[in-house]
This record gives sequence, C-alpha cells and structure tokens, in this order.
Amino acid sequence: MGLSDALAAMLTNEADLALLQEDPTALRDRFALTGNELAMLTGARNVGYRITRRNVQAKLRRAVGVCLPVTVAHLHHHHPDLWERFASTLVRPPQPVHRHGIWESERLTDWLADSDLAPLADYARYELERVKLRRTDREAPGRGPADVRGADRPLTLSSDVRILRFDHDVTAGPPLADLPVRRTHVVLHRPSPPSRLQTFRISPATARLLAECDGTRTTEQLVAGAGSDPASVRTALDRLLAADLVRPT
Amino acid sequence: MVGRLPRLGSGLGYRAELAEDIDRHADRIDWLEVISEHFLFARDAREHLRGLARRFAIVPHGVELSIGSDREPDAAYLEALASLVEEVDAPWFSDHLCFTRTDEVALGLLAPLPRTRQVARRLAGRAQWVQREVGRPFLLENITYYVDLATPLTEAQFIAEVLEHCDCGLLLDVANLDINARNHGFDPLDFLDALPLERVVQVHLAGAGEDEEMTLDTHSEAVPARVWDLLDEVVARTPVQASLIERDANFPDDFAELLDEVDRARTVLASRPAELIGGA
Repeated sequence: MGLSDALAAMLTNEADLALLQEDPTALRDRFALTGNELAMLTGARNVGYRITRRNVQAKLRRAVGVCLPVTVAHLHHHHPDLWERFASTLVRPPQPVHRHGIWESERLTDWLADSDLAPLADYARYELERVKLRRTDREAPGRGPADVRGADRPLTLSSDVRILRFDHDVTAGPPLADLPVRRTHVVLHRPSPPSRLQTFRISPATARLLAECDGTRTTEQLVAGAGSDPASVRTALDRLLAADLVRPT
Repeated sequence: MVGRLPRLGSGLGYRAELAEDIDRHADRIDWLEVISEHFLFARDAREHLRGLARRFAIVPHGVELSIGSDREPDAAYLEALASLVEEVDAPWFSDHLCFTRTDEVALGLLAPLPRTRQVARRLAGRAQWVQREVGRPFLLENITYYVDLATPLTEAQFIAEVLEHCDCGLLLDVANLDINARNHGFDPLDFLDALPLERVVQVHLAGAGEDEEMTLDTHSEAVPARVWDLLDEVVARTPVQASLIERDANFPDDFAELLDEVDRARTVLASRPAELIGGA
C-alpha cells in the first residue's frame, strides 16, 4: 500500500475521495501512507481530483462503448441515470491487454440482467460474444472445407464459431426496447480471411445438432442418432461443413 | 542507446478514423505512430500493420505499460511488445511516465506519480530493464496531469532525475507541457531549462479542449499557436528526430487540415541548421 494505491482508490471511489477532506488520518491509516505522502495528496487541488475522476469514468464508458456500442447508445439515451450509476461505481481490476473492455462489459451485462432490463441484457450479451469472438486467436490455417467433406472423423465446432441462445430475438436489432420476446438461437461465425462477423439465426434443431458436434461423433453417428429424418440431418451437416461451421477433428 | 537514431521527420498518429486518408496521402506523411495495445495480441490487426510498415516507418506508442506501478510490467505484454517492435522494425518505442494501475485497480488513464528522487530512480531502473527486454530504444513521455501532487520535485526535475539514471530517450509532448503549464501555473520555458533537452528524440503536438476549470488534453483541436511556439523553442535548443501530430477526436472534415499541420511540423524540424542535426 502507498500513495499510488490511495490515489487510485480516490479516483475510483467517491467515499475514498471524500476521506481526503473529511478524515485524512483515516486515509493515511488505510493506505499506510507516510506523513509526506499524505501531504502530497492533501496539497493537490480538489479540481484536479474531480476532473481526473471524471476522466476515469469517461475511459470506462469508452472501453465498454467499444465492445457494446448499440447497448451503450441505448443506455445513454434511454437510461442515463442507470448508465451514470454504473460508470461511477464500477472499479476495474487490472486485466490483460487483450481483455480490454471485456471484463467491464461482462459486468454491465450482468448488471443489466439484475436490473430487470432483460432485452438490454440479451443484446449486451450478443454484442459481448461478438467482440470476444473477434478477439479470439485464430487457429493456424488448415485445410479448407472442401478438403474435409466426407471424412469419417468426429465433427467439432470450428474455433471461429459460437452458438448462443437468447430469450429475445437479438437479430431484430435496435430499438432494443422493442426486441421481440422470442427464444432465438444464433450462430456467430468469424470467416477467414478476415471480414465482417457473420450472424445466422438457426432453428432449435440445428442448434441441437451443432451442440452435438462436440468431437465425439462422426457424421454417420450423428445421422444415425438423428431419429426420424436422417436425410435432412445429413444435408444439414453437409451445409455446416461447407460453411466451415463444423470441422472433422 | 538513443545516441544515434534515424531522423523520421513529420508523422501522424494512426487512427482507424484516419486510415483511408492516410492511405490516400501517404506521400505527405513521413511516418506513423500506432497505439501498441491495438496490435499486441490482435492477429488480424497485425496483418494490417505489416502492410502499413511496408510503406511507412512505424513507431509503437504504448498507453498501458504502467512503468510507474510497483509491480513489474507483465511478461506476456513485454514479450508481445518486443515482437511487435521487431516485426515493424521500429527505430524506437515509447510509453508514458505514469502509472495506469495498481495491484487492485485499473484506472484506464495515465495517472501522475509522486515526484520524488526515490520514485524517479526506481522508474529509471525499470525503464532501463524494459528497454533491454524489448531490444530497441525506449522513449518516455511526459503526461498531462490534473492532480498536481505536492511533491518535492517539479515535473521537470523529476524527468531529469529519471533520465539521469537510465539511457532512455525523451518523448517531449509539447502540448502536454503547454496544458500543464497553464493548469498549474508554471513557465514552460523554465520547464525546458530544467530538462536535459539533448535527450529529446521525438515531440508530440496536439490541440486541447477547454473546461470551465482547466485545460483538457483532448487531442480534439488544431495545434494552437502556443504549442507551435514551444516547438520552435525546443527545436532552437536541440535537434529533434521526429514530430508527431496527434488527433483522437473531432476529426476535421478536411484531412488537409492535418496534412498542413504535418507539413508545418516538418518545416520547423528542418529549420534547424543541418550541421546541428543529429542522428544517422
């Protein structure tokens, strides 16, 4: 503990900042400050703390806004008080660079769900998963889809694919307050070479089939386990392989 | 390590919003500074950067090294930074004299350090170590600060103390100097007097925003006359290998405004008599 810890706390917590004025001895004790360190803090003008604290919150807003632009725009316009409360109370722990904004966006997503804003929470999760997939390291380039079709090896999801389920149809897009209440399965796919992330709305049956592509079953085993309509399952798997959503292990 | 560095000339901060214009006007921009963290772990972005590096000299400029933190920089971060620097064959890399996080809290901004000799010397040792790990010259930049801690050293004395105990270079942000001087009431020329200006390798130039109470480091306006005057002053005192225009917001509709600033900075750098220009 020391001056930097105290300063960081004061810039992220209003109560700690207030201590500097109201009870500097408590601040000194809490952060094990020397007398000189406390004097450095008390000797700085309040306006500097106020502006820097505001900048800390602005950086937080920006970090989340980069990850969840539509959700944040909606919050900014329709729930400014909630957005303000979130930005003024969240304290960010150190994160690896590649997670910049992710931890904060996860907290916002959870917080929206806890705030009875289910459509917003769903859309935030949709945006969050998209940004996470964009930032995931790619596997080394391998065989193209055409090379692997028909191979009798267990099928698995491509590492560039995410299957998601929502209680609202996030594919309808903004305005988020009007997202249809509808169980919706979505596949996110990051194509190679890099281009825009693809989003597919899929049926529950396709979602189940994709979930079964877990590296333990071959095409034939998946078709055999499909029950009443093996031909349509085989066709579906052919399409998923062709689209590079699933791959032989 | 910063004894002989190439003269890069007049550059522009690479931002996604400016990418197309930079591509169209590559002949008017001598070099690009990129934000290191945007490229450290992003393979697709790295591919794009390799393309840029074939056309421009590239300097990675970090905002998250947090060299003033108690804890050493993250090993994975440094390894990725070294890889990035080597991949674009950067003549140097840079980051800020500040801390951005403690063990518990990430501030997400450049926060001021207690300006003591002890902190300066510890930071110098850390900077020397980072420079060695990355394997290229490391420039340290003065920040804008709004909390002016009542420290025993002035900012200029602190920077001088750091530089005395390492052989890193100085990235002198002239706009930050102007903002700090106005916000905290000191003479920027006194600041320059106290610095070992021979360690200046690069300068940053930008425009600031105005708040009711303080001037803010927004990079959102044209470079003001005061900052140009300070650049003239610095160049009159020491050779500068590179200048950089920073713009992060309120991008002008007409890219020519930024190109004019790049041109103007180039002219100022070139105004120094050739026999005094250092570098290879």
